[in-house]
Amino acid sequence: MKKSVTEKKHTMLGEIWRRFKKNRQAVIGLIVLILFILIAVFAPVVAPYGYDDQDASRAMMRPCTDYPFGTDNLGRDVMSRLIYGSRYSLSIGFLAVGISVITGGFLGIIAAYYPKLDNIIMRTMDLFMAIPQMLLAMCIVSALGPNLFNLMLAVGLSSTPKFARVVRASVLSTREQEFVEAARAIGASNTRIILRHIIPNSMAPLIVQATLAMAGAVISASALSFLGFGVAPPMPEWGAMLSAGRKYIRQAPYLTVIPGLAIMAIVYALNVVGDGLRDCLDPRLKK
Amino acid sequence: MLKFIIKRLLWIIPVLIGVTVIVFTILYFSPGDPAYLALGDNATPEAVEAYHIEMGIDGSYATRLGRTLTGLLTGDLGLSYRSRTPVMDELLVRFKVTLDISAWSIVLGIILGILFGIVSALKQNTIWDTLATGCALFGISMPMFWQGLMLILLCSVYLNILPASGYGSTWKQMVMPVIALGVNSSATIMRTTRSSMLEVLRQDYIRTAKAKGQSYYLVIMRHALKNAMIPIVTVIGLQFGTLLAGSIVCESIFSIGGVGKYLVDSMNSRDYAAVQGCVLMIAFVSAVLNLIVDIIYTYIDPRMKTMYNSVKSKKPKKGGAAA
Amino acid sequence: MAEKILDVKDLEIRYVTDEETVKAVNGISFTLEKGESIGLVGETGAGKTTTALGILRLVPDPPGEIVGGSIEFKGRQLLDLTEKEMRQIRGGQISMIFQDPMTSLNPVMTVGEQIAEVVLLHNKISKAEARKKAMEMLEQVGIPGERCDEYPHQFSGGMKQRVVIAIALACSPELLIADEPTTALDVTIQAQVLELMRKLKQEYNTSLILITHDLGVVAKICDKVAVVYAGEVIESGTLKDIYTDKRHPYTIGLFDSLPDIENDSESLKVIQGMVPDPSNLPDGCKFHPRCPHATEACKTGVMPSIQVSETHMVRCNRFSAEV
Repeated sequence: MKKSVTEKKHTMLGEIWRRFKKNRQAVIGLIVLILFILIAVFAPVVAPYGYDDQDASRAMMRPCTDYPFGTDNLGRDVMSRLIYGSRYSLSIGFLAVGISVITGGFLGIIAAYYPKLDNIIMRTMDLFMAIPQMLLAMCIVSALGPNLFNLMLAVGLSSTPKFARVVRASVLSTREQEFVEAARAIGASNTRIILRHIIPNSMAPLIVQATLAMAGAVISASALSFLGFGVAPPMPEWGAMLSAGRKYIRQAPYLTVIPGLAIMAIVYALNVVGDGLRDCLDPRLKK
Repeated sequence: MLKFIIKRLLWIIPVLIGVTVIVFTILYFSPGDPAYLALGDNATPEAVEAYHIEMGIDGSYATRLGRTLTGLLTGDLGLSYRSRTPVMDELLVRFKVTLDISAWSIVLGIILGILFGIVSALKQNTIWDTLATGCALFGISMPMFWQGLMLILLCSVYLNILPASGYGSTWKQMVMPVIALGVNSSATIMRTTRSSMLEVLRQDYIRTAKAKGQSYYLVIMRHALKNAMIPIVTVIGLQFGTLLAGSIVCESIFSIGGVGKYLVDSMNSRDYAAVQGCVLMIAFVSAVLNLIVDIIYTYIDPRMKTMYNSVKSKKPKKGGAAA
Repeated sequence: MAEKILDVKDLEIRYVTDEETVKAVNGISFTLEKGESIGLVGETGAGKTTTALGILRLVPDPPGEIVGGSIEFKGRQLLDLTEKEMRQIRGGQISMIFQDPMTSLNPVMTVGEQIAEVVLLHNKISKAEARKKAMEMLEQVGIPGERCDEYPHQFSGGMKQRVVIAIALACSPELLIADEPTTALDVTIQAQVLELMRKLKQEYNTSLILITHDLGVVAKICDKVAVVYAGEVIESGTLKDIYTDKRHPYTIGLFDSLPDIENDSESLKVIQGMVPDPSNLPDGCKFHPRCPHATEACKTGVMPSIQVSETHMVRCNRFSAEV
């Protein structure tokens, strides 16, 4: 019994992968993403210099063979800083979305499953959604104090309401399906139904939403850092690098161009992977 | 219909109260006493006390929240910690600027987004479609602040055709902020338009319209577009909020003295009264804009109208069979 | 001899995608005279709807394309007409009733507008006159004329199908194609709608192609029957030919699968096997894998079409010896 279930899952994953890899753009996005993850993990190995190796003698050098992306005003190698910076962007992307998936998912499931709480939870979420997400994140960061963890928390919490909505809608539609009725008919407990039946079957829209939200989280986090509400210097967060480089936009435009390109590459990759996943997970949208 | 509008307008009040409670609570826990920021670290306890009373920030959480809420009802957003002037006055001066830029941006976003979305859907799987969807994907992947900086680099630093900052002295100052904000929205609107249009074009009633002998162009304009508008309007509504938040970044980049820049400056100087005022203002504006979107809905989708009017409307009556 | 209105010969329609080629229609031929009605009978996926769309040249392209054959309507070759000429025929001279009334009407237009649209397209009259005509048409199909300003969602399923019929008949077409007009409706409503169609058909002297899998419906309305299997007509004839002298094993199977209240047998008879996959049709007779009488000869070549009588044709090896 157990075996046949895993086997079925296997072929389902295989089917998803088969559809996914037909989307060339999405595959490229996935490769870029994996590349970024590898770079982030092996940053000390890949980076030619440390992220805070200052050397006034080589300040503001234009991109050349020694420093492919040039150096900044303190003589730090931009490429090395970018490489280390990928750790921030990726971890913010993943963890912030992790936070919103868990909190939003929890609230969404509760709301969908306990009609008494539904109204309270969802109206509260509506209130939070009345505040633009960036603004909410700014307030949270300023209340908690700007640092990496708080930045993640703020970005994550600010998109909790969105996830609560997605999960609630998805659970509500799953709940109506016959296999859930069947599980209830054989006397399964609410918790068991939620864990074994509802969650696995409501995953598809959540995964898609999560991937796309990661893209949003990377942008929000870098925007907050850019405004000075995120990671503080000398940490090589891309948004903060952009903000620092902005002062030298006339003399050293590469200091603003390159970190932006890095943000864009990662966000682009997340977006195309998210689109690809949506196309292959959502049978409604199939051509 | 009027009843619906009034009901929705009244609904804004609890939303604003809720938002106030949320923002107030978050900011209440922010570190730092504004008195020391205003008076210096060596301020005497008496001076601090006096400052608290002057600013209306003495007392417990509950009294302060109560004071904030009653103030809100009379349109009083409290005093700015920095300038000791009413936040409302500061906001009203700056609000016009933000609204000006946001309005032009959303107009640009809607025009570009819908236009390219339709073209892309109609020419599905051609080079135009690939190009348009590719651009839109870049559009949503580009951080708005970077896009703004790149515009400055191109138009001000290299080409020297547009001023890099400021507002109000010439229309040229508007160009880059509006493009930076508008292009971002247009990318989202374009993607929605395309998928909504493709969805609608698959529908049976499009085939019915073609079977009537209607021309391709009119099938698109009369039948497809109006149906496709329903999700597009939703997204445009959501874009208002994003756009207002985006103006925070945009105004900082282009040094425009709007609500967004005021917010960032207030936050940096821990002027939480002003921060709270800004957030409320923005939440209020997006609530009103969303109300407008909801009203537009009823004009596009008759099903909505029936829903809202259902109380007084007569139940669909059954026509006599083969009269 | 009545005037021949429609002559479909060897019509071939395919859906070509990257993955596969679906041969939906493989040489269907039939003719229809003025005022006559023919039933196209067959299982789901046999190519009936595609044939109908082919006649109106509304096969979605891509992926569909008409690859061969001819469709002559009143002596004009429809496949050679320009799109503009074709538009004059659609809705004016040939119109179609679609399967699902729930989705065939545009949800954001009033039913009156939708009927008036087709009237305006094919007649040189004013908008007010078109509206009057729309109300007349509604009355004709048994809906009070004043309901013409209501939207489709305010009508029940049976009512919507009446509106669809009103649209189809608004320009008094010479040929009406009804694609499973009653499948989506409740049984009681089905009878009403069929009765209405029969009445209107007589009134307007319209020729009718009725697509259905319901042999009972065919018996009620049609003069002729063509049994379609895997995109081919495998047997055709007058109502009497088919109902009393059916020859093809598939036709026999089709009739046997009807529940018979008089012969109270234990279980319903079913045709063994599955409808063939139209992207991978068997060689020879397309029915041979399911046929109880299949021989080696059935597995290759083209099945001969045998005239059993002047009106009765069957496409099967079993009868080649008899002629």
